[in-house]
Amino acid sequence: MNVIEMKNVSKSFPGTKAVDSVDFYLKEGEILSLLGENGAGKTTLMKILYGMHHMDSGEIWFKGKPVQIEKPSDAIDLGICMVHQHFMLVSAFTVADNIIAGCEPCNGIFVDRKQEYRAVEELIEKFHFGIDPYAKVGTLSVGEQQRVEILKTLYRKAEVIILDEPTAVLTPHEVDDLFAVLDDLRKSGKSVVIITHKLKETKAIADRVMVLRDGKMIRDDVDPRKSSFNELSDMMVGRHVELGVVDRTKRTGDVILSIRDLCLEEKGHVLLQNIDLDIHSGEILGLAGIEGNGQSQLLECITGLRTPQTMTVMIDGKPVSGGPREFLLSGLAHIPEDRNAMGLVSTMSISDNLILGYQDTPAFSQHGLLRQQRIQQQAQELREEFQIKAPDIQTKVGALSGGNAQKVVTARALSQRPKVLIVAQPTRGVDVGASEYIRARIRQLRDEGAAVLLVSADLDEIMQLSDRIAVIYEGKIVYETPADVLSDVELGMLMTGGSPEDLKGAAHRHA
Amino acid sequence: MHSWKDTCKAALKAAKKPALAFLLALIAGGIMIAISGYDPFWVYYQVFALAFSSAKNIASVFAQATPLMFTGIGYAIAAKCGLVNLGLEGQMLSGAMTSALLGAYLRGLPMVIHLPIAVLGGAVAGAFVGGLTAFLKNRFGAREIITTVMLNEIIALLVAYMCNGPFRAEGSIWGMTEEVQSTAVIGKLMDNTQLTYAIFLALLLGILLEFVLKKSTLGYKMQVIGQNIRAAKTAGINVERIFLISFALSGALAGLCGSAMILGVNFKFIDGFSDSYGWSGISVAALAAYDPLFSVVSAVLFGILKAGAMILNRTSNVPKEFVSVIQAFVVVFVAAPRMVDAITSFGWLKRRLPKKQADKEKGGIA
Amino acid sequence: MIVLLVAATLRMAVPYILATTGGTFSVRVGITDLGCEGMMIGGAFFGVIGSYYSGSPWIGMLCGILAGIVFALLNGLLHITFKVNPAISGVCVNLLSTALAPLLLKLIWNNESMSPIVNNFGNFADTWLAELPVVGEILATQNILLFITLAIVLIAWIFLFKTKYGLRMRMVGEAPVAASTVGLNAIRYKYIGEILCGALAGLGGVYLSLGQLNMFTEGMTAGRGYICMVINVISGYNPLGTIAGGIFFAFFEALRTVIQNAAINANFLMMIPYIMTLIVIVISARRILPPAGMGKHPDE
Repeated sequence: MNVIEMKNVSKSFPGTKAVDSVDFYLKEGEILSLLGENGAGKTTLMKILYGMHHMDSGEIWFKGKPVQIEKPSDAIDLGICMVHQHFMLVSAFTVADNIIAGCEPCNGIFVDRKQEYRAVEELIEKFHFGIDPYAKVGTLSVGEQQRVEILKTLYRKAEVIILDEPTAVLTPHEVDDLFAVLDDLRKSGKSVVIITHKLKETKAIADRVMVLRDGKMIRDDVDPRKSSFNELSDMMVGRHVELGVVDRTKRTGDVILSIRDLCLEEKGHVLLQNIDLDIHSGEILGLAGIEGNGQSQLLECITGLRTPQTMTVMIDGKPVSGGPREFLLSGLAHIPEDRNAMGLVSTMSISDNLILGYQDTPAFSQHGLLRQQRIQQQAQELREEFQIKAPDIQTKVGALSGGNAQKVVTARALSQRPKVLIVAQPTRGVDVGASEYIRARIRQLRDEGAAVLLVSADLDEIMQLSDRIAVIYEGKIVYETPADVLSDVELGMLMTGGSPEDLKGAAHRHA
Repeated sequence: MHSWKDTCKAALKAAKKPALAFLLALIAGGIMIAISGYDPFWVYYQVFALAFSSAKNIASVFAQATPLMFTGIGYAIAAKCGLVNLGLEGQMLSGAMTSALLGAYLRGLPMVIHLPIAVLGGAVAGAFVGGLTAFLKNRFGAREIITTVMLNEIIALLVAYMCNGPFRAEGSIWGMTEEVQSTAVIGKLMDNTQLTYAIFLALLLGILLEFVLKKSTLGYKMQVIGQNIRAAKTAGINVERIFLISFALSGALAGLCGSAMILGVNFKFIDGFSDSYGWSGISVAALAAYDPLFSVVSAVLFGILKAGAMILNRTSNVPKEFVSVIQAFVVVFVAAPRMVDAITSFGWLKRRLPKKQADKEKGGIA
Repeated sequence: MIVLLVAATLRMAVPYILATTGGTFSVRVGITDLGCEGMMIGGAFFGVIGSYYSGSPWIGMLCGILAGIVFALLNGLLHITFKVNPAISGVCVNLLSTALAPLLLKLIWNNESMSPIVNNFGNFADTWLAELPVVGEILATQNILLFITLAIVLIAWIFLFKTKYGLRMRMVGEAPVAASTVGLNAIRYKYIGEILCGALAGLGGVYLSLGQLNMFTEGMTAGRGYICMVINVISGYNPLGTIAGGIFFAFFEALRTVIQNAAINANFLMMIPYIMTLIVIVISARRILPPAGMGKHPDE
């Protein structure tokens, strides 16, 4: 029986048709994978179901009856709950407060604290989540926060649970844990939708796959067990894409970037401990690790955004110290992890964004005044070279798609012919075509002799792009290995604190 | 790249929103005038006609506009890098007191030295207070909304203490300082008016800062900071330094407003002399979309209203207090372009309900 | 002397405590409480209007509270609905309120700076409270609003930290998007917080004109609304803390009225609490943090 049917649903945003006459259905007790690229309309479709977006036309049926879902509380009342990609948690509140807020156990208007903690503890016990209900959410790890989010849906007695990109921030091991939970949910008769663009996980857990592309439903009844990766990928992208092009370095040279003895402490917590890294000319070093193990802090330290207690950085044999400006001018380019927050000024034009950070170089300014002619000329050249899709270089960056915005950041970094490139999450929120292009450009820079440090939460990306991999765990580099030596499971073990000695055993178990 | 035609078109397009907001503020003020029992059309006609009825009255318009130009430009230059300088009033008072004291107590200097010192002293005092705010923000992370408001109170008390206490002019009943020397007086542009050469200084600074903002790397950095401070930091822009420069400039402009009032109009610091010049600067800059040069223009617009209402007040019993209300309405409408959209589209485009529009503006595909 | 000082301190503290408690609600739903000044002016002025036309200070109080709410709604309309920067929307409220009061003075009473004398809240001088030992002398110069104020603070604290509506309001202030995903109407809670702020700041204004005095004079709030914003910070956005913060400022104000001889300049004396607070605010700027969702909207 279908728990949910969405009929002929459409939704437009200015300039795009996000969801185009889509029919969607969900059966009781199944796990459905809603597969599609970034921007295919998966999240928008589910947000319509959850009452966060209003559809322009269409109908929603719940258990055979048409329903109106105007706002999230309507959906919650029906038993539909959603776990968002960006967690919707209050860091200053306790776990229990986060779970109950919105439907509190009460004595009159007063919150019944006893009942609150009892109910939450029971739930945690039942699903073996192992979280302290009294802990402040801000102190939890990402995996634990996700469990709090799932607890929120269970506390609300959800029958339909929608998870948006639930594995994006998890390690392979945590993914297994999550899937075990989802399996439990399926057994207890709940229906689950996973929004994802990851094929491996789709095959691992889903009973059925729906594929969305450019807002349209392409297939609604794919059996994941009977389809190959390539078939799924072609459906998702709409053409044949060479997935995961692997092109290792041909020639490495001297050490270009050398980091020694990087230690960072904050408020008594050791965030980074004795980090030593060498990256050679013509080499991509991938830094694998679960988010929150010090990657962001490491990036901040080696780009000058933060001054650690101790650190020696040499670029091409010369010591560098100071702020981001000094690092930038010594030949280090930076593609930051969050392009919209850190890399771009969305209200400024493409040409203005292409000089950001380099505005004081003689190429762009003289006697403190901007050389507009040169700035415009270089912007034209870069737009053509990087195929940035925009009406002209005066277009505001905020109007660009994720892929094109990331191309602007990449073009700016590469245009300076850097000796060292620090690149974080280069393809997050970027469509497949632009992703492959950006990866190819990073490889090209490497082949021209630059040293590249790649940080990504996407282990597949690390494994595909890196020539050498370093694993970071709790602020320490715990392992370094050439690419293609360890499997993803083995890397995952190292990322969660497993020791290298365990590797053999793990390999056996998985074999 | 850009022909003058494009520039004109862009300017017209940019001016549309503020013009609409100004019009709505006049309408709102007009409704209030009507409720109070006056004919709004007659009042507005009189205000604008009287403001331009004689050379002396025109001079009075520009005289009223002069202090607003300084504080308007001052607010704008801080707003461009995302700073909310609510401390203009205090910075203005500190500039005024400094100029008053330098003007009164420095003796025996020729005018070419004395006047610049007295004027510069006011600018430096304002810049110091503004810079202090930036320092507290940079060093301790104190939010400027709170520190500026505190500094306003502290400076108001300090200057009140000074002109009632140690620097009180002999024999005066009300708190005021000694009159400034004739060598520190800013010359009048027209006799028997309050219009002084200070207006040229304001105009010059407006043009200069406009140029800095649009053409220099400093201006580029200020705009980047104002629109995305994290991106600015990531790009290696020294945010703290720019905050300091910008806040000091803003304070200097406010200080100059004080100097211009003391050395050109009042000739001494009188307790409570300010007609909220600092706060009015916010209205002026808001109407100018936080652009230094447009601030000069919008100050003149407010000058017309103020001068016209004052003249009207002499010949009729229409209260001049209407002007401050209109001024407040201007900020309300300028600050809320979406509200103006909602009001105007509701009027003659009923199908575009504001809610739907807001929904659309959310935009993008999540 | 000490009795006088304590009594005056209490009288001066009430408006601070009221308006700051209002500000707490505003900040707790994520809105800067800069507009308190304007709401206080509105409360003080319309309190007098109400009392003038009805003869009853209680009606005056209602009018004052309503005026505070109207200005709060303006702030809400600008910031919550039309997404104006909260500092600017607060300035709008203050500019409008500061401009309206003298205009209405002129229109209604044809006077530039003050209203006529109206009925105010009588003090306890002739009641049994004044007969009490020890505290009687202090209570003799207080009025009923003192007790109302203390009750309000207590209720506000219980409301914010013990009830489900308080929990929801704080959630909206910390994370408006998260609040709306669990089905809360974040916009409505923000408006409720703003309205409570306006009502209490308005009541604070009423106390100035009908509790301390019996008329409205131009500029009578004298920046107290701004100080409330500051007291709010040092009290950690907690209603109970506003009592201590309010009394601190009120003490110096009282000292100024009690020490009438000019040995110490009154203006100079008043600078002391401001400078002390500025130092505290600056030093603790990175420790006392407002809610994480300050100035954020539920649909972003």
